[in-house]
Amino acid sequence: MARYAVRRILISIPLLLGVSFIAFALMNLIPGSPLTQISRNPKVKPADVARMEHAYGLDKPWPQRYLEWLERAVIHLDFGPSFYNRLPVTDRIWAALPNTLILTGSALLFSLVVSIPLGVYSAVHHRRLLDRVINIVAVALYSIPLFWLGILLIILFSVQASKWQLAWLPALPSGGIASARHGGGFVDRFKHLIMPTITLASFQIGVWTAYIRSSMLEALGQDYVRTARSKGLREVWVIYRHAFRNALLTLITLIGLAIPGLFGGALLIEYVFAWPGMGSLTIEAVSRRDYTMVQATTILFAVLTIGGNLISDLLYGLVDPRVRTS
Amino acid sequence: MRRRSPWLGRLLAVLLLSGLMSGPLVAAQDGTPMASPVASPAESASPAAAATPTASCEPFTSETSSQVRDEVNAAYPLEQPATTDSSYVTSATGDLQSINPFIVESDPSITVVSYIFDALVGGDPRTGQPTAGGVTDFYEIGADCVTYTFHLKKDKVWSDGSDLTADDVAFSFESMADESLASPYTGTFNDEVKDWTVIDPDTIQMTSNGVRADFLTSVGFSTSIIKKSLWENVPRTDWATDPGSTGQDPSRVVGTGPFKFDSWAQGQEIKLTRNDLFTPQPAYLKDITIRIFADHEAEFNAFLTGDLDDVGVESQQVTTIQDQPDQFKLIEYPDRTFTYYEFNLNPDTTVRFQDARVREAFMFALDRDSIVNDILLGHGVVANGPQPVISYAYAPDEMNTTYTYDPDKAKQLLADAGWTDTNGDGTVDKDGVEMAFDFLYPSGSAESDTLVAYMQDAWKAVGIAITPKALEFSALIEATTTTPTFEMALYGFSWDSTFFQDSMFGCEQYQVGFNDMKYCNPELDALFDQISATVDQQARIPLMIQYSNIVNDEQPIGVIDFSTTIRAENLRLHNSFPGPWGGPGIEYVWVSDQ
Repeated sequence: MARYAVRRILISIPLLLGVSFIAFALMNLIPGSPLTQISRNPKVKPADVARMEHAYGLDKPWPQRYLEWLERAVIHLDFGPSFYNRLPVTDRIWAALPNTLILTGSALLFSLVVSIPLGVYSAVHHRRLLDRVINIVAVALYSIPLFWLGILLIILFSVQASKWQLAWLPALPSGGIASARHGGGFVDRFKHLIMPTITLASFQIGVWTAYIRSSMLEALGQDYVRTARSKGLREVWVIYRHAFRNALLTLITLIGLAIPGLFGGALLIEYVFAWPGMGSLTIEAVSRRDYTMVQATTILFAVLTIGGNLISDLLYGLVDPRVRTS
Repeated sequence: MRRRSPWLGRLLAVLLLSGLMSGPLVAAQDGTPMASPVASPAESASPAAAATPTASCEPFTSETSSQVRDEVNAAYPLEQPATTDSSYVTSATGDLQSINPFIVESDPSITVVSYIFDALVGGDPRTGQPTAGGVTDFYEIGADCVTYTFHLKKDKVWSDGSDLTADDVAFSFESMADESLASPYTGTFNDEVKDWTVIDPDTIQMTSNGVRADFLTSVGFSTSIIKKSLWENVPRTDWATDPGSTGQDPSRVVGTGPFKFDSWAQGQEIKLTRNDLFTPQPAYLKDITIRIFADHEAEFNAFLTGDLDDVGVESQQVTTIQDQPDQFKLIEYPDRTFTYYEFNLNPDTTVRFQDARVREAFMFALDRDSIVNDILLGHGVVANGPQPVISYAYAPDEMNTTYTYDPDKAKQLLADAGWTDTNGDGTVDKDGVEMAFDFLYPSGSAESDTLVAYMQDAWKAVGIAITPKALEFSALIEATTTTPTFEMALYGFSWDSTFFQDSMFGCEQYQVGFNDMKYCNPELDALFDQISATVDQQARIPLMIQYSNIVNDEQPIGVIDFSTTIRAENLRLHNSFPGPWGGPGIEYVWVSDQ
């Protein structure tokens, strides 16, 4: 298993190099530069812009700047300063990354907590009314655009709820990680997490519920389940110890595959909920043509994605001994 | 400067125009460069422009800062605070660039540093013009019109308790002039300022490079004063990354403004606390929190849920605020922003817009009353000339030409210029060239989408076929400036408080300023030189009206409307008085019922 993990990590190095090159090239080839908007300030003279370009190294050809960036990033682990505020991009990322991990982590957890019971229940109660209802809800959840759902939740549970001031419908914060006026405590932060988590998790809940239901249905029809039942085992034991254990293999694969999707979804959800994480940071950096920041966030997303897939593979091996053997 | 989101909030569309041209039509000859296309000032002169004012060089002594403050305070119904322990929570879209006033270039950074650092002079919130204030108690302008003597406030101290002296001011000038500092304002400063001399610890004298009507605005407003002893040993090449600029070391952020820097959680919020040493009296607020949002909708929702004390409002959000008068109040005022379309007048790129009659036809074809009423929902003013409503040179009644909606006149102007529909396809053409082209505009605003769709229909009705193309803002700038192969583009713009317009219409401003059009009229440039050298504002006004008339008749750009700023405040916020030039001051703001 260790050799397998090392091999996977080594394979990811050229992948990351490729990602970094493509990201750098794309950012530098699209119209605009970090100084484009400054250059349109009538108080800023062309000579000022030229001086700033020189100071920031933007007067060099982009392939040369890529090689310099690569050397700094690989040898010194220094991703350089932001073109926008000259702060080290790693500082900004370290400030934003925990927020994104909290959001994606809670969405992942919430998805599992909801989809596993729903999927199992749906499979066990195959073709009954609740099974059909769960199916419809699952299809709806993975069909609804996340940003639209987010806006809908904000309008209902935040804007309208604070306007109506109903006792049974407490208003939730519309954005941010804590209230500026009354916030900072655990409860306040938890309240801020509710709507973004639900929104980000909704797609996974829909997909995983359907997959778990399908896997469970298949597992429940297998001989070993029939054998377990014939041995007189309790139904709960049969479902969770035998059928679900095998259905879990599919779920673990899905979790690994879902991690890039969660980070991708976070890009939008963070924007909708003014969540100060990597998504907001990336969108802001792209619009400002903050090359170093975009480069660093892209690499980080790539690392997280590759790492997620690796963890998924390793977990798969832990659950299924046949994988380890092969 | 060209703005991104404000104008997105106010564009709209329609067509046309009309109004008989009361002045001489000053068209370039079709197909020729715009070398000298305009009527002479005398030909297009309005009655006001008939008198030719001369530069005024009377010695001038300003009021003292306390006199100005008393006048300003009398003009606003300021409430005495019920508490001096309140917190003000406001917002910004986008993070800070820096805490160093020499490096920041746009909001919210400029606003934040203005709370921490005083500028050389202050601004009158009633007019936007420079006044005694900032670190200056009063100033004098010499008879030569180039010598400015600033008498500093004797009671001004830094937030760490040390005295502000003229040496600090001189050091700030020296820093601004130093090209090794990657400041966006060094070029302007060096253009404007010839030299300076410390007279005594409370007095400093500057000399401008020639007579410059905008000297105090260009230099006085944008030069913040920093503490010499904190910065003199830091190489200016390192200022941008110094902990005193990045906020990583709050003890190095020392100013003379009403607030002190507390913290900056990047991408989240900035916190400022009251400077108890601020004179003449400390601010009423205990602290200020500026929350950072990436998106206006999130910002607006945070306001509705009570997390913010005030917010900018887009026209379609007005009714939401008006529906809750027990919680919020709405404030609307005209601002310096306008929406316009620009033509590419470079004959090497396109021959379609060389004739001014063609350009006028575009404006006559737009029903701008409908644009303002139906798309801006009434939150704007139809433009008549390039000067905005709040400009001291705003004179709509003195424009030679009023472009009221008149599609028939638009068709006639096109026909007069040789553009007719010879092949029956519904689009006018001339010499085999169809009046059909791509029309660029910034993406990301439903309101601008609506406006452009409206313009497309209106122009189609007179035989002009545009194909709208929405571009991301930086891409749009590239398409109109770096490689200006565009035909027409839509933009929003905001003048500074001088209301000088050379940055857009000056011959030298092509690919340097905002003259994307490659418009050039040497007579207009000469008139601008005269305006720029006329220090007395009243004497300057007729010249500026003359300037506006030339631009209005030439139509190198089509100004559609002047926008209004709409803001909402929670009723707990007091003494804010938002306006085009700010209010009496952040030090008077307070918040009740926390």
